[in-house]
Amino acid sequence: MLWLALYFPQLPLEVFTRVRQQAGALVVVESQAGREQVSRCNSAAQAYGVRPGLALPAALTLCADLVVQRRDPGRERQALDELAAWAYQFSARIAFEPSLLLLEVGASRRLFGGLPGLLQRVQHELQQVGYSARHALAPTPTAAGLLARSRPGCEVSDAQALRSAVAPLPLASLTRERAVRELVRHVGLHTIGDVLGLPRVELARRSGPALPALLDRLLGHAADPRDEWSPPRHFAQTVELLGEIGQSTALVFPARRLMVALCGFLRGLGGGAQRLQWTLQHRDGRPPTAFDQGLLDPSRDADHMLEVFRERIERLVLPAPVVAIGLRVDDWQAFAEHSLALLDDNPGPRDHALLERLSNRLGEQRVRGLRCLPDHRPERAWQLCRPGDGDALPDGAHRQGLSQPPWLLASPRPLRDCGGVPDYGGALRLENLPERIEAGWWDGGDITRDYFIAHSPAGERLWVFRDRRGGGWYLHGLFV
Amino acid sequence: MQVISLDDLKRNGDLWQGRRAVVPAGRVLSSGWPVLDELLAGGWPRAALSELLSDSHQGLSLLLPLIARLSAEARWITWVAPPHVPYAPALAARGVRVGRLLLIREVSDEQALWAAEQVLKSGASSLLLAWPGEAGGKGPQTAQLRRLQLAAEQGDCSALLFRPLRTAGQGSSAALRLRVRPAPLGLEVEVLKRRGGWAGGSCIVPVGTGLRAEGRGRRAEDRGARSEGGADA
Amino acid sequence: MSSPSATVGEQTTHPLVPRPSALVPDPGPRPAARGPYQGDAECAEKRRGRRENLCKRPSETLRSLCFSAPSASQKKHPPAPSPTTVGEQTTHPLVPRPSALGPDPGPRPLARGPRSSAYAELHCLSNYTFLRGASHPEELVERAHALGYAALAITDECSVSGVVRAHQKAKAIGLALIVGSEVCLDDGPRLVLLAANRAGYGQLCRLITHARRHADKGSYRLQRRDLEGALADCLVLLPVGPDGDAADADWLAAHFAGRAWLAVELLRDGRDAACLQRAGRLAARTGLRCVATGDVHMHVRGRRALQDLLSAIRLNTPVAELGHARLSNGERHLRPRDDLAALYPAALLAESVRVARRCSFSLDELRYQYPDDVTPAGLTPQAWLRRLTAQGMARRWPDGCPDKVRAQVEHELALIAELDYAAYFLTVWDMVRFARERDILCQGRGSAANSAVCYCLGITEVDPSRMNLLFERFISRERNEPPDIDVDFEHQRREEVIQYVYRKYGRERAALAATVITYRTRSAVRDVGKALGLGLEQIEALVAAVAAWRRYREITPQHLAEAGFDPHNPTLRRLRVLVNTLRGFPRHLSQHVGGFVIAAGRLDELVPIENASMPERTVIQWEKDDLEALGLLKVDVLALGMLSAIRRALALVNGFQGRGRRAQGKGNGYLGPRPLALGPEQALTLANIPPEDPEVYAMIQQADTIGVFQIESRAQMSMLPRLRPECFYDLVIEVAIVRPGPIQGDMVHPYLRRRQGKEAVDYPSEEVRGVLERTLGVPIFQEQVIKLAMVAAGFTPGEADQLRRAMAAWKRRGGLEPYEKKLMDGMQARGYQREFAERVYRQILGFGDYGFPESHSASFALLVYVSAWLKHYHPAAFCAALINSQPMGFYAPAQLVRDAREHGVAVRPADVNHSDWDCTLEGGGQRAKKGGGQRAKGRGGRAAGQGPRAGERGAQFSAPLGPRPSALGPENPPAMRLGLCMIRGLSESAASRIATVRGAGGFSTVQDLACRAQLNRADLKALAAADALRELAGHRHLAAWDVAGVEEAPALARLDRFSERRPRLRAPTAGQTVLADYAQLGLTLHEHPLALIRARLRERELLSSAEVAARAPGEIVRAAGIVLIRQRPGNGRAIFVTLEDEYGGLNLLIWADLAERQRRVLLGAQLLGVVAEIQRSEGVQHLLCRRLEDHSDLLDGLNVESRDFH
Repeated sequence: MLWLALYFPQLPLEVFTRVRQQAGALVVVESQAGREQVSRCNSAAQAYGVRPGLALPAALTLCADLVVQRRDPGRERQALDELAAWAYQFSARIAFEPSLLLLEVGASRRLFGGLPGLLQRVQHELQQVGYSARHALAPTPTAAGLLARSRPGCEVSDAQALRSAVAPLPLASLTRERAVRELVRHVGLHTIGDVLGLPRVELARRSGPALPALLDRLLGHAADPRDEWSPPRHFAQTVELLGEIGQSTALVFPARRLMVALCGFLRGLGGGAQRLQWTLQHRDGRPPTAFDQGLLDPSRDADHMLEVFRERIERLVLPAPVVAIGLRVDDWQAFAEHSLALLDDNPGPRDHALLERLSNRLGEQRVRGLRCLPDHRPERAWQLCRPGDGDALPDGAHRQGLSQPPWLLASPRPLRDCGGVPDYGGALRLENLPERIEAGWWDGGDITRDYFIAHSPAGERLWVFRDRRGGGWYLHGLFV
Repeated sequence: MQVISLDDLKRNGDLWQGRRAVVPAGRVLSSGWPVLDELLAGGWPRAALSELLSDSHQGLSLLLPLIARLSAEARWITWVAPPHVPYAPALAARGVRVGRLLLIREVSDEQALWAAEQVLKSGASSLLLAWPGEAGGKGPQTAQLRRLQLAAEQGDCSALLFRPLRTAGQGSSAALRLRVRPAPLGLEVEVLKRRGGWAGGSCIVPVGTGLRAEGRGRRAEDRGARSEGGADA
Repeated sequence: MSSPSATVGEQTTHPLVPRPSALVPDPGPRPAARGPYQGDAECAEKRRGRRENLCKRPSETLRSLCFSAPSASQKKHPPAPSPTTVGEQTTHPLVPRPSALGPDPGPRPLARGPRSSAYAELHCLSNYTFLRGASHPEELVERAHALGYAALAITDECSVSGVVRAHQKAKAIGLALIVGSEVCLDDGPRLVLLAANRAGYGQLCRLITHARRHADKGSYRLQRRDLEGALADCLVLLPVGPDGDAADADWLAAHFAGRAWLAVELLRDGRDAACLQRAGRLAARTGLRCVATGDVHMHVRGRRALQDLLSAIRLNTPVAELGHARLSNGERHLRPRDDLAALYPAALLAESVRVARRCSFSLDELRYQYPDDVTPAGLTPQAWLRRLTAQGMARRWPDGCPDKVRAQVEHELALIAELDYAAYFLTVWDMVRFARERDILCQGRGSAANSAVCYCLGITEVDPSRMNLLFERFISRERNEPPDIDVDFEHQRREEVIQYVYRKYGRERAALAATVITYRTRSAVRDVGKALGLGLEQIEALVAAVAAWRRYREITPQHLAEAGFDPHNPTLRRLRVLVNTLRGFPRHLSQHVGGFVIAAGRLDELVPIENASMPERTVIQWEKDDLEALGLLKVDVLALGMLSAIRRALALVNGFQGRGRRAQGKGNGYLGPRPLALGPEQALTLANIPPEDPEVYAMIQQADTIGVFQIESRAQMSMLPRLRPECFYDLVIEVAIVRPGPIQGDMVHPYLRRRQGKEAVDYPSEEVRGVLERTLGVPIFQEQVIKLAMVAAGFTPGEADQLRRAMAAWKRRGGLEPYEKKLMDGMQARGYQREFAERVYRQILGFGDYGFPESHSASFALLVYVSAWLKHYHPAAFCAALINSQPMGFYAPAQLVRDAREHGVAVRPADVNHSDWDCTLEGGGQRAKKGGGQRAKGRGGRAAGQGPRAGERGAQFSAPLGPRPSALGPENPPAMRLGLCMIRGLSESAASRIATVRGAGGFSTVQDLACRAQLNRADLKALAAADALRELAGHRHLAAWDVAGVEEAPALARLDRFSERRPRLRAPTAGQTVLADYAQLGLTLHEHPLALIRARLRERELLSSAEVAARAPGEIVRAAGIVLIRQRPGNGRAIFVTLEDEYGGLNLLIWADLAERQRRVLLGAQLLGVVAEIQRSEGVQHLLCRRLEDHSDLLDGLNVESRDFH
């Protein structure tokens, strides 16, 4: 076996810079013993004297304009996952260590014309992916990972060379285990070589059995099983179009390719997709057009999908010719899971057939649900949302609304002042004990209003308010 | 409100079980207003079309108790082309589960009618409130109303159309037509047409501010001092 | 006599709303005995009528809220005031005035005239309801007064912390203040409790105490049964919401009949109508009356934003996400009575005044008595004090007391008798007596402490006959100032004294004073920033900039701009305004450093007692200023590390000498805290250390004072060669002068110049000479400033005392301005130059928080002298004692050990075969003084002490009483053995087992040690890492190897262990050794780290401290050292950095602009290089830095921790 280790030392930083080029000083911080400290920083930050390990407040005193990102292990892990997907072309056996990928290339190197060809290709493509990596080759995964971190570029293939390659490395680079660290510090065992020379039984008694076992795995004296990577849980593919497409109906053909691929993917995983997210890339870097295609049931039937897709894109007006079409499915689900969900006690009225029909015909923005927001300002106390998403009720909403009307005007309508009272088809009669609402100083939307229940000459009950600052009267709601 | 078991619901056909069963005729839904129930011989017609005719979309308050009750179930309460924003906090305060509300808005009259029909027959909605003609058109014609009536039966969905008073003369296949207008103590409701019953008769429903619970369970005549606005009596 | 409808101004002083203080304190509800209204039967009748109106016809209440026609309401009620004069919502006629309860056509009992109704606010939270109330108590009182309220109740949640401030303000402006509290029951409703009279106040305090003592700090627990039957003299208000619980009302009616109300709080939240209706129902059901209250959280509407902010902080949620946890409007403020009249039925408003009238209690009624638990039966405290004083006098002066002292004692006793302070002195004496019995060293200070009586009682060791009677008056008869005695105890044993006090007086009678922790700029910026949703990094950047703003009382837009922020950014503008308001707001109660309040009776009926965060500590709800305002007395039980060190040093000296005398060569030098067991005639004590020793002063003059109490800081040490103290009083001045007060008041340099004879000493008048002569015309002590105000500006004693209080508080609260004018005018009127007057005022400002009284200084100076004496004659014992008393003082053990070694002390490493837990003394410490000259050069060429003058001064004092230094045998000085306490990670119990089982032979192997001393792996590792096993195992690596192989459970120890192969391990290098020493011990006895890299420093052309010392002043040099200390003193214009190398130290002076330019190097470098100019004068050397360089790379692994003081 031969393992290729790819170590991404700047991964915590690159997961941010790769998305958006960051010209200014950028640091990634993480919490160490309760204080924020710099984990990685870009060269602009280094120019200010910021360096890893510095406490964040200290870093901020060096550079006030520092852009601070909190280290995001989830994102790093995701990046590694994506890299693994990319690396799948080089090896069927892929394993992870933090910031590091391990590829077993002993079997696959021939496909690439031997090791040099494979490494060249790896390096070349890595550049395109936008990550910087250091590599090492060794007969064991542990050694490959260790060397990639400590002696990048090192390539060893036999046991004897391996031993002399790892012997001068600091023991601390092999393991961060507490017992071993202490041994290193107190007994003066600094290198892996120092430990390799010690009597094994006596060492095990002092370091615990983990260290000798680790050394065995390092040198290939013991098996080194790894959790291997398996294909991702979501699907995302983009098809670059050969020519430009200006007619939305012409998208059906390339879309079909994606859907066939998707369905193959889903079959492999034993699942179905319920929400297809389409992205159309336009010429000249115009903002892409994105839309979702909902399905009644989880499906992996390409024909069915295509039928719904046709109905959907009929209404679509393309703002510009399309150069690429992307399909993404985030949450595919197993059929079994879905049928379980039907038996849920409180499924909510998610009749997808109805919503799907209404949305596809009318557009999603016309088929909406409603939710309460926790704000005293009536215009900010509610929001349109996806149907069925408004079930969570903010605390206190009940209390507030009891004296308020079931109808709210989309925006307050100014009322004429008629001798000190508002006029709405005649002078209104106001009930006593107004509700005073004062809120919003924190977001610039400060209001201070007295809301009255008013009776119109026609007998309607209205919700009007007086703007205590501006002084005018407004109609804001109806009790009918 | 009484506690209802799941079995009861199933037995009564209150719970939609996914099959588009034909609902027995004559079934009604209590409005939550005793005086109104009395006037309507039990409540709103179930799985049927009702019309509320008024000058300016009056009558939502009459339905709030029903909306609140039905929103506890698993089906949508659909609002087609509402004239204003249904004010979520006020609805929530009156016991409405706002997550169950489905709004179809900013649609043409044609779309509104299409959507109403889809909703009614889908079986996924227990109640449909619609303001046809809101977009400026002439409003539904008799044939269209008939389609809605059929769809309501098909999907076991009660439909309430809010229409201008001037349509009172228009023929309608609705099971119930009411005239609604403001009164000092609430809303005055007058029965213009009732399928299988007498027309005529009216009552005043004390829709108030948060005093619904107080007003409930009393007859219109002896509301008197306990309800708000008593000074005007 | 005014009519009930008096004008606004009159109402506050209305004779019918009796000032509680004017009443005879009268427990028990006797309504007939109270003000004229109470006897008014007609009024009572009307009240009953109103009550029926309100209670029995709730529907009418409701009906009245909805008017059928505007005209009807206009007819029925007087026309609303013209829009221009009345509050906003009454400006249009259609918002009806609900003054009538209904369409009641009959005569209304309390017809509201054109003026507003009288009103008393009975439910009001101040900002002492932390993070809810948004106004200071004083603001509330002022506002209530301005609005013409008849009374104001401060009802903080389960607290009376804010009432003293409110009381003072109310008294000053003439508002009736009611003391109350809002409480929330665990099993019941929220209630407002009001103290009706003194007894009720006591019940309230006990209830709060009960609630607070049964919960964690900061919270409380109350249940219905706690209130039932416990509040006979309190009024109880139940705020009723729209869904108020009938059961609560029933409970209230059942248990508090006749003194319970339903509180109606109309807050325009859309539920007012429902509230009124509900209250009416409940009233009808229970027969309780309704009263209007306001649930006030702030004094003006404008505090709304701040109130939202407080909610956000309280709930740890950004303001924007508070949602309904925020109040929906700003109505919870003290509303104009017109507004209230528009909102509430008049009867409810009138009822508030009636309720207020039933509350007659004033804090002025509190009578405090000193406890008198100490006096034996049959004696008066004064007689007992006189007897104890006489006994003490005989002990202090066995050969007869000097007449002068005797006369002073008589004078003092007479004064004590006159002011009735004997019990107080006895209380303090009792604590000191207890401490002495336990061999806890203590020392009193404060004006009263330096009296002859206190010296006789043993409270202090400052001999009044030696002090040249500097204190003409220890208690001011005119000023009515309570006696001030603070007692310092050994810091590690003070808790014993505290627990003694609790034991002796009980938790109901003794508690610590509170300290209210208030928002400072930094904490305010942090909390406001978080609440406004600023990002972590923005907040950090703002907080970093705050350091520069601290000096100002407000953050201005300029400050923001200077710190690089956009002042026009709306969020920053909000932040700025909110921070400025929030600053000074109380945040939580903490405990005072040691101020005990002890009462003769129940303290918990004077003020509630609650739990402190420390276990076994209880604190009252008032802080120092509150106590002073009410005349409550506190005794400060303080902790002082130096006392621990001195006691240990004395014990070591006595123990070592005693052992020497008993010829016990080997063993434990530290004999425990019982030095007196050796016999008083030989033992060295605080009292018999020879005074005024010229050699000691010579040492002090050279600034050779590392470890010496108070004068060991960089600032102090640089002053010593210039000030050249020669006698005790010079030390008194030295202690006081190097403090922020005198420095900011610009007193140091004038004093120095005059002392050095460079400037003439003159006095603008004889009176001023009398005050300032002993400090050469420069005011240095707080007492002198006060005295100056009296003699030069004509302040009365009372005014001077107010000035003293104002001085202490102005930085926090301001309020010194009125005195400025009075002072200037007074001095100019008496013919003083304006310039002189301005200087005095400046000095007063400078004193501010830091004013240091002469009396404190004198007590400290004694400890300065004692510690310096010990350092000079017993450097080993002194060093060991300092280390054993850590943490304390300015220097870490590394510097102390280094200093001791430079003074010729042999220091031996910690070793399991020789060390105890503490550092000890061992025999045979002969060791040539090392590097004295070199060090002197390194410190800037200190010359040898110039004895003659010191000798002359010293000679006037009595001959030494104690053992002569020469008798201690300097030719055979002890060595210091580092204790196992130095070893990080070693438990004290393990160390003591080691010392106990060690025996004469010591341990032979690591296994032997582990078994006999029952050490666990962690202990063994710590020992190995500290190189304390060298006799057993060899070098560190081998020791660590052995230790790692020890089986923890002795039962498992098998023979095969000895068949283990012991590998060959490299010995640690010198660098590794030093590194390991620092890591495990915090110091090394091996080479200084810089000695190891000296060659490389030389390659970089960096000089050592010794080489710098050899250069001439004015020369530009390049040098480097390890950063020990970074300091930015008061004004921040310069940064002081102390560097250290193997030869000594370098003092750097870095101006702020350079520091700013090279901040990265300054903050980041561990091995700091400088290019600097040598400045040397009067024996003090500074390097004035031109450039900073970071050479930390040379240290590599040799990181030496530096102590940063930002």
